[in-house]
Amino acid sequence: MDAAVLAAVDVRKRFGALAVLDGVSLSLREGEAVGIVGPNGAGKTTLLNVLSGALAPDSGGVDFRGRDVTSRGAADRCKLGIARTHQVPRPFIGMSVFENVLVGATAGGRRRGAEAYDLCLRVLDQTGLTPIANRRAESLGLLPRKRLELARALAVEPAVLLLDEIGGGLTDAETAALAQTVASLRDSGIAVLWIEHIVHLLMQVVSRLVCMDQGRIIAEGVPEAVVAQAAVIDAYLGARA
Amino acid sequence: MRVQRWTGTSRAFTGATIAIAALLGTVPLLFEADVVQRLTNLLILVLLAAMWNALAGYGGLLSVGQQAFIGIGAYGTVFFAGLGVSPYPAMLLATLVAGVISVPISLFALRLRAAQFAIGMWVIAEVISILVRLDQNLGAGTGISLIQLNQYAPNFRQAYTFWLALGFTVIFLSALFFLLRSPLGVSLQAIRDDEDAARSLGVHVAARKRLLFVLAGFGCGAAGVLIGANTLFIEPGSIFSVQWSAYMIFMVLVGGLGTFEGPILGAILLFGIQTTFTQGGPWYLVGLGATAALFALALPRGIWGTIEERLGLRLLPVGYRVVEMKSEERTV
Repeated sequence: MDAAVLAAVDVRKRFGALAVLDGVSLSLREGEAVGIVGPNGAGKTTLLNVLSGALAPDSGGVDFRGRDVTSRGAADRCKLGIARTHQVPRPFIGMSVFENVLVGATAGGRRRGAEAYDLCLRVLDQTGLTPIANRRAESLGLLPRKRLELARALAVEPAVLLLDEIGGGLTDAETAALAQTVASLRDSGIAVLWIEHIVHLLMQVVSRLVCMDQGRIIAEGVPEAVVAQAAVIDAYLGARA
Repeated sequence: MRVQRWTGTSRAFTGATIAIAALLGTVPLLFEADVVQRLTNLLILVLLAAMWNALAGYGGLLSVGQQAFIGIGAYGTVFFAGLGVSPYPAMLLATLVAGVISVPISLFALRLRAAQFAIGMWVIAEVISILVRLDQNLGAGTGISLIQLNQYAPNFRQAYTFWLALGFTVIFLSALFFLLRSPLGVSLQAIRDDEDAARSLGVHVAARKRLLFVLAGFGCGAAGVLIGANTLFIEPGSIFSVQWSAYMIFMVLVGGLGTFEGPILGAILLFGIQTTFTQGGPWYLVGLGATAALFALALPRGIWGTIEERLGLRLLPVGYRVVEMKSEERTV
């Protein structure tokens, strides 16, 4: 088995009396795509915040390529190669789409000049944003904002990509295209951790599925097997019905 | 597709700006001392507006305490001149001191966020003001004259001060221009729009904010030096007055927060208002405040920001545009 590129080790996080993460351990290997499902409030996004450095865990830690990065901030982790998207898109509204992406390429990716521009143009192409490259991000609707989240993260040229619900609200054709995009990122060697409610979308891309509920991992393994487990059906699908 | 930064228009306009700056150099040779003094005031306003815009428009740092550095610059000049340094070198030293002091102040102030930062800066300005009031050698509460400048004939003194103001304005606005055009430029704007998202893309927020804060410390210090030299008399009540912050906010909000050109426009506008309503007084300040508030509500991007949006105009370009390749480039 390949070494883990990113790992959460017994991560715990409380908000007041509520244990949002209650001892979560999870590892991600090079070129592997892992999906996370679970009902709202299961702790998925909090886990992603801890992995990306936006939130410090109460206990436990995060390893990147075998190094403990728990004490490193979000900017440092991004520069190391951990990029993320936000569930509720957070575009830089006063800047153009291209300039938004350029932040990822220059700050996180440390690219300069023509190298950075070419990278950004490539990423815009890949995410279908080229036609609106000069639009102020403020004027974008939800879907382009989500694509911009992905584009900015890709401009970092990350080793690990943490995706937080980028698939909501898409048509069938768009969903298929998104699955293809993420699959090609995975094939290019990027490790992908993907939180998504649309299970059939995840199943097209991930080789491992993790189901969380109430701050714990309640099932983990081959996607088909995880989806079939009674606990998962109760916690996740049951919660939706 | 390719990335474009300069256009024909922006090249021409930037060239024109440089030419205007060069032409301004001849002002003291052509005009009377009182005109030169008023134009010095204009340059001071441009400098202050650009520095407040650097803080707020690019770093998201809303300071109402930049008068701290204005005061340090002005009183620093008096202090060094009192030690026997000749007046103009004393002004350079005082500017340097204001900039250097901004580093330790930043260690405290930048821990604060949003409104806390704004009020925190005001408190810092008041504390420095009180320290000055306690010092008899600096004239305590009653103020002090920059008598060392009397060694120059008024015409020459006014000319030197104007050239110094022009030099400072050119240096600080160029520094800001090149900073915004550098790869750090987009990171700074990202901090303004969403600090946490910027961090998640690898922007070292604290270090970048410090850079802007220190630049503004130097710039406002330089403005304070010039205010002292232009009025020849300073007293803590006015040089440390929060009124300076009100002026800066007015110029930037009306001109266009987060645009490079807007604050220059705002400064020219305020200069025009100040020249027209020379009486001053409380209603004048109420009018300025109301106008700034009105702009914030009705035209949040200011005059220049709105023009830029409507016409897609960029005269002093710090941004990026993606354009089609020219046909000859496409075949390469």
